[in-house]
Amino acid sequence: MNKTLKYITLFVLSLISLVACNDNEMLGPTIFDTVNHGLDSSSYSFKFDSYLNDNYLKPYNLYFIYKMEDKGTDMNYNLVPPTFDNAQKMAVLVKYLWFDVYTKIVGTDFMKTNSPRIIQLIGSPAYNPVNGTMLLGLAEGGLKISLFRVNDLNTSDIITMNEYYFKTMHHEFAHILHQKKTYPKEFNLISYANYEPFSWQDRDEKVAQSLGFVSPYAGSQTREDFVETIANYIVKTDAQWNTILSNASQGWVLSGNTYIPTADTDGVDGRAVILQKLAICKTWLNDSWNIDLDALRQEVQTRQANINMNQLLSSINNY
Amino acid sequence: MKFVNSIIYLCLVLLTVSCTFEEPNLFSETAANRIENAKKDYNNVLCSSSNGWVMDYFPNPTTEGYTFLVKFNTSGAAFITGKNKYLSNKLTTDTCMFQLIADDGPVLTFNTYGKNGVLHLFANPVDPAGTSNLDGIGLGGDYEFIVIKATATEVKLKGKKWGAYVYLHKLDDNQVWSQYFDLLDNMNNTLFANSKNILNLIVKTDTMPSYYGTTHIFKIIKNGQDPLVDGAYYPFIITTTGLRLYSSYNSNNTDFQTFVLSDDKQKLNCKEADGYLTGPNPEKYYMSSTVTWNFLLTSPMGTKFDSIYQKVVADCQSVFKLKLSNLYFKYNATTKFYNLQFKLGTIIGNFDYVRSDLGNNKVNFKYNGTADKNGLNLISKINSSQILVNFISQNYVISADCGLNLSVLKLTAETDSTISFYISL
Repeated sequence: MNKTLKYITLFVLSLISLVACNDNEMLGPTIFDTVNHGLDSSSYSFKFDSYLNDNYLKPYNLYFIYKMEDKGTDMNYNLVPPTFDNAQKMAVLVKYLWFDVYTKIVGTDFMKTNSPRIIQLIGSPAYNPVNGTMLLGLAEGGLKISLFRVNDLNTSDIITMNEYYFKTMHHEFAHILHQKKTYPKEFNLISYANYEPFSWQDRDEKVAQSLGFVSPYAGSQTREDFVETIANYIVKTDAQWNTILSNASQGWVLSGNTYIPTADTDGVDGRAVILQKLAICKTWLNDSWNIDLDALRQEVQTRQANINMNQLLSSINNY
Repeated sequence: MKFVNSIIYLCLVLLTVSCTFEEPNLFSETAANRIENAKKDYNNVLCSSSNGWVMDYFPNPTTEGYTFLVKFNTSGAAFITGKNKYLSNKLTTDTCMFQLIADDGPVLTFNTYGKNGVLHLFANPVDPAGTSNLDGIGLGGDYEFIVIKATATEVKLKGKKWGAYVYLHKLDDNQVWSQYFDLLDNMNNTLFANSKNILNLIVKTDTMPSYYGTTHIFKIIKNGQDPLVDGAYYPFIITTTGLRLYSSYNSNNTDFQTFVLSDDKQKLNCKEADGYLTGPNPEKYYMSSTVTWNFLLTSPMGTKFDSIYQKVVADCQSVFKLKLSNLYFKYNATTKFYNLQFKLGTIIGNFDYVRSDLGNNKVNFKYNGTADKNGLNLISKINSSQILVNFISQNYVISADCGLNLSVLKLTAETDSTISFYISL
């Protein structure tokens, strides 16, 4: 009897569980606004938005975000938006010194395939108070590049512009490229004993160069070394590049507040190391991406020596 | 049997809960539609004020408040004007973009940095010029605000990151923006310019000393507390009618937050409850100070005092060819006299007085008949100076045009109101 009761009860329970909550409704239409409203010609930013639409969104499927969205940033940092004026300047400069260069040297499809899908401008630096550094750029998963400190843009100072933005831009883009096609492992072995992941910022530029790094940050880890080599080579003028190589070929010692030349006792031929790394970068870019780094550099150098902001900005103002 | 009972109980439980169908909708529309509608509604409210809004901006709950005037345009541009120490106290206008976005609820974001940084400088991690702090916090303020409530006349916001409540009050259509800041400057000057005195919050029979008013962050000490170690900080913002604390001060379950200057400028009366802020008694304050007080020779004086003073000035010019430029009350720690000091060209001289507290807002200056060499020389050559010295030697009623700021005091002869003058810190 007990057994029968047990089975009946379990059977009833099963039925209940099968039918009790059978009250699903059919899905209705989407609750989100799916209408493409286009750009509002009465908007304060209509001309600029139209420019971004035609020069980034349509050709590259790229959102150029200048109206700050802090949810698109690391909320641990305190950040502010870029000014409207500097956002416009940055937009035309990024196209002129980056997109148009690669398009000319590598071909029209290259950037369509490999460019990030989002470029985000941030007005301020992102401070790391713990180690006294600041972020100048960020590449995330090959999809997004963030450029910081846009409110400090000074279009008459190409050296600072390169340091803050365009070197960063090529740096982050090189990250995107090597995340898609890895670079030769032999690169990692060249300076493996001299990387300083946590105290790279404490190493003087000349000392870093003497150790075979183009910059202190290049001495933080191998992948940063790789992209720093490419980025610095692209944006530095011949004179600046030769200074790096010259610094790399000697030793440096702190005297007072400045470093002065001394006998090279670090056991590294910095100049040879940098050139060795550059050779690997060139070969990798050529073999993996069909990019002639020297031609690319030449194009950038020519363009950055002939920046005409009024002319570049007219492409926005003419809308 | 035990098992059977358990099963039956379980069934009963299941029967009562298993078929609980969806509750009827609490809202008439979906969450997505509601937030979209809220964005549009709030945008319309913001753009509806033809002369813009007064923004009572607190960067965060621990810092003083700053006033901005903001006009929201339907084009997406916001025009902001401010005047504060970070803008070198110059009226500064700015343009940036704004947008209502769906974030933590509807959020008002000023999403491009104004050229002059009027609002955004408070959110910038870079400290304002002159400081070298690289902690990445800056002034710790927001440029994005959750919209808590919006009506045609008031919008309540909450800073998204730093959490300070910020209010927008509709600005009168006829209010000229620059004149609005003049009103704020006047109020701030009235209450705090050159002020060295504390204020007291008076609630019934309780007196709570309120320190550091000039910083716009009161430190209020409750009865019996030690000002060195106790007390709580209350940031406030200057308004055209007085001041408003960021968060209310609570005394015996009564909140005090908004204070309005009385017509006679002797008190800041609390709007919410029976209580007020006021300054110390002028007579006690004056008598306790040993600092130098300047005669305000350009402020209105009583006719008789003014007449004799002008005579002294003219006589000095005539006899010495020098300008009598300043008069001071100054305590001389060496002689223990309270000096009337004069400055004639570059010459400084002193007359010796004894200062006494008579109580009931009265003080007495008694000329001792002595002076230093320059003082004696002045008296010997200029008869009117002797009259002036004697004029000052009498009883005075001491008062303050603004009872909250005792940096300027008025002294009126007890027996002759035409003998009066102002002194200042």
